[in-house]
Amino acid sequence: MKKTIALSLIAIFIFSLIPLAFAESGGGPSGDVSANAEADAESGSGRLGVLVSAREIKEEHKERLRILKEDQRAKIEALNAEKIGRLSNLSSEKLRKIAELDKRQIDRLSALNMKNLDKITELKKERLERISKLSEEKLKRLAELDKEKLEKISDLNETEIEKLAVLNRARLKELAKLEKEKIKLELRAYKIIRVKNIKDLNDKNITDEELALLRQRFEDAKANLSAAKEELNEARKALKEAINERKEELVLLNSRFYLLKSINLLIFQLEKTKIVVKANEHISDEEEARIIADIDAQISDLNSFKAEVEAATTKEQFKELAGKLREKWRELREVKLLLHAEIVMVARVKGLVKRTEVLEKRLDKILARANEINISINVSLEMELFSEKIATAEDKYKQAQAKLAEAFNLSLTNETANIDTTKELIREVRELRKEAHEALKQAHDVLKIIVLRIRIAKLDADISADIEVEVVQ
Amino acid sequence: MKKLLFFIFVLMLISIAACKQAAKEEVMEKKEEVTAPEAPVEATGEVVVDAVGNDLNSIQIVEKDLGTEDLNELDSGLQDIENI
Repeated sequence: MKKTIALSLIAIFIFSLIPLAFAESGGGPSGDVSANAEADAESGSGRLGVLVSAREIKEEHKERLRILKEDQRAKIEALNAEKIGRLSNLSSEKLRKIAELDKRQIDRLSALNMKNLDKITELKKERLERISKLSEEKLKRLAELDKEKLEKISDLNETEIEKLAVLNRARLKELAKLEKEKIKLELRAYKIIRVKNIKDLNDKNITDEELALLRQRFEDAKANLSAAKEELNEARKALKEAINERKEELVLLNSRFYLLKSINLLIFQLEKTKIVVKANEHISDEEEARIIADIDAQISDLNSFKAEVEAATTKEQFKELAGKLREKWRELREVKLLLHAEIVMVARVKGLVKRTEVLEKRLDKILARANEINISINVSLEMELFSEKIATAEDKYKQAQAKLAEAFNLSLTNETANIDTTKELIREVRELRKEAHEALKQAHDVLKIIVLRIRIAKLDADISADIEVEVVQ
Repeated sequence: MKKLLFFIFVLMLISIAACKQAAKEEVMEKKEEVTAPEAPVEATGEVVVDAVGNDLNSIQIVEKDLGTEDLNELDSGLQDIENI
């Protein structure tokens, strides 16, 4: 009995080791060795088999092309074997349709993968004729759409198709969902620009020297602000001491001192914001002028306060001025400074969206080139995700920008009734800007994976080089 | 026979303990992943890609620079004057 129990336990133990043994042999080197050995053993007959089947396929392709007229067949036979293979796999009707196009159009269409080629050749001849005039890169992007959308788009005129094909994947998908007339209307608002250097996308031109000067001024403003804060702390200490010692004259003197230091501190903060606005390349000159005028108006208000503080002599006057300054500080803290800060932040996000859009287009060019030289890099899912994230960021920042404009205009009215609405708008802008920022961070993470895949494929590509691309504004 | 049974029993105990330990380590590793602070931008070597990454991170610095948290004490000093 005992013997039986012992044997059963041993059997259980041995059985429990079996899965482990399988796991090791699956991924371990011994597995590879046996696989290689098998491959070696079969390689002789295998190679022969491949040659025979390749010849058979070639014959089959030739046979399929015989249905075409001689001049049409010549256009197709001039392509590489891979492209001929793809075209020969099409139905006779589709093959004839494609063969009627010019050589360059055939070449571009045959570069599509089989699935998209089959889909696109379902289009009527006139539509196929229009759509195949696009470059290989653009055609590839459009061919990713489903049949229904493709039909709708190929019905547009050539200029509209060209404009649409410049959009990135995500925006293209969104627009293709609309009705034909709405697509036409949307396209009218788009402007295509050619960008070689990322700086071409800036809303204003700042030279490197100007930028360096602004940076220096920003550092100086920061230092001034820090020193003003120290002085304010000392003034507060002195004021407290005077209040505790109940020395009326000293209290008034230190009140004046504290009020003047507070005003200086606020002016330095506003000056710092002014520099950041000026240094932002995505705030246009016109927009900058409006913001600077608003900041200058605040500084001017504070300087008027300063004159009033200097002229004040009585306790009541100081008390009243402290109340007024507190109110001004609240307005600056809750509306003006917050609003100006959001303008700068949203502009920064806008700049980053534009830059990543250019990178998407550059990657498209790089991947198209890889395809031409038969380097396979499968990043279509990543490219789609990258595009989606950029589109989300763009959508969010544009919403933020619209709300920001509304908040800015409301803040200029100086009406108390508008304060709450302005504050709510600023809160919404902040949320949208943060969402846009998050989407961009996710896009950047995907971008890093794409860059890595390109490296692994050993494709000699430089995404940092100034490659000219088209973007929509 | 008793010795053999005892030996198998000990062997099974050891393997169970090892399995449990391995599972625990995996859970602990996952926990660390969740609580880990945001990592700095990993450089890809591509200038434009890394520049975008750095600018994405610097937005928080700009936000802090333009913030008014450092000036919050101003209010209490002004209140002191209102109460003199």
